[in-house]
Amino acid sequence: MFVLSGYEYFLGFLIISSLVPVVALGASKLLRPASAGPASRTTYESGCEPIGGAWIQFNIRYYMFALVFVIFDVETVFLYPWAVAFHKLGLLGFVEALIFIAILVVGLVYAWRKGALEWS
Amino acid sequence: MNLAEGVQFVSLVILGGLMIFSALGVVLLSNIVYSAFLLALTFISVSGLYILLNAGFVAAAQVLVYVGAVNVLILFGIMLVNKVEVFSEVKNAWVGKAATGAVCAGLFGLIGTMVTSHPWAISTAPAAGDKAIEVIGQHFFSDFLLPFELASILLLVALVGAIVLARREFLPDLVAPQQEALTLPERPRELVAAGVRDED
Amino acid sequence: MQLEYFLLLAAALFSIGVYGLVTSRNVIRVLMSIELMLNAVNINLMAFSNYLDPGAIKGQVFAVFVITIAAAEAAVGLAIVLSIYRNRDTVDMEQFNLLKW
Repeated sequence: MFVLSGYEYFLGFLIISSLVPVVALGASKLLRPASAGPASRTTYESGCEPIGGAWIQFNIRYYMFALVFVIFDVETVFLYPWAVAFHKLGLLGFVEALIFIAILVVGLVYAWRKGALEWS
Repeated sequence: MNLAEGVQFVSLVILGGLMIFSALGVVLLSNIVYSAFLLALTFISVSGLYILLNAGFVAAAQVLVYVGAVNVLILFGIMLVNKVEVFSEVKNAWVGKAATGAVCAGLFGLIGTMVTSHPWAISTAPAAGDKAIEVIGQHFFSDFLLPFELASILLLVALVGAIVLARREFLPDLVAPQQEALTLPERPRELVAAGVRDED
Repeated sequence: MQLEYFLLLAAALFSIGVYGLVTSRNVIRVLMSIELMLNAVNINLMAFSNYLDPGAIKGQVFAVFVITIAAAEAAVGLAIVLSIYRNRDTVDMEQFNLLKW
């Protein structure tokens, strides 16, 4: 039994938004000239000549940023129910959430000190 | 069956089919980049199933954490180890695959038989519905308080451990040469620019 | 809309995850299969939470914890994969035999 409210609009928007890429790509498929030269199959680099292939090894800094992002994304998921139920939880809940945040701030400080947040 | 139930059933069939086929693609396709994007499709379908199960908050958390963070992390991992690598052939690999497929089909049959034969005690209590986030928040700070705090410690340990594993901690010149019998058969370590700073 | 549909879907997803976990040669695909299995478990938890315990929804609380653990597992697992890749220059499971007797 489905009890949530407001999801009929969600379904409508989902159908419309999933039609958008289909219509856009289909229209461009119909309208564009069908030329299949070798130049049309290269990587698009805003008009520049692409240098090398796309299958290269990337810098590990991308991984560091994604790692820090994952951890604090999960923290957000935990803090959102706390914010919604804030008035029912009172001061004790506030202190407990502060402990939760303080433990993760230790991790943030560690990542900062180890240079995981710097690009240079 | 009225209109709302029909829409829900059609949604269930579409989402379930998408989930199963994209999960099969994750496992069976040979290009790992296609697998990673199909994994995102699997996560989104699972999130749709959560909405059908009256759990809007967990569906949002699923999209936020899995599609937004974990899948991006996996894509970055693929980019970092991206190398066209031809795996050496293992003799009689099909035997292992066939045996694993048979075991997995048997596992599905076993669970399916158990699920369909067990008399489930369906509850008729009023559902939390739109109040679910508030109920989850109260659970976090009453009977699930210790797991809640331990989760932050787990995240801290994961952050520190992953940073230590992924970046170089020492300069290779400063390492004393080890005895041959004690070394593992590893490639010699060279210094890369990844996360190494001059310690001053 | 019955409980059994969701449980069967979860069982199918779990079986696919087990198959991928055992047969994959690429380490990152093994990590993806583990994520599939964790998602199957989550579907089970949510289905039970909705049909057997709709008032207290403890299954949803558990699902949030499972999501947390899956995120931490993916982060540490990929860091281990990167570390092994730097030392052995491969992502082939058959060559990760450092601890093999």
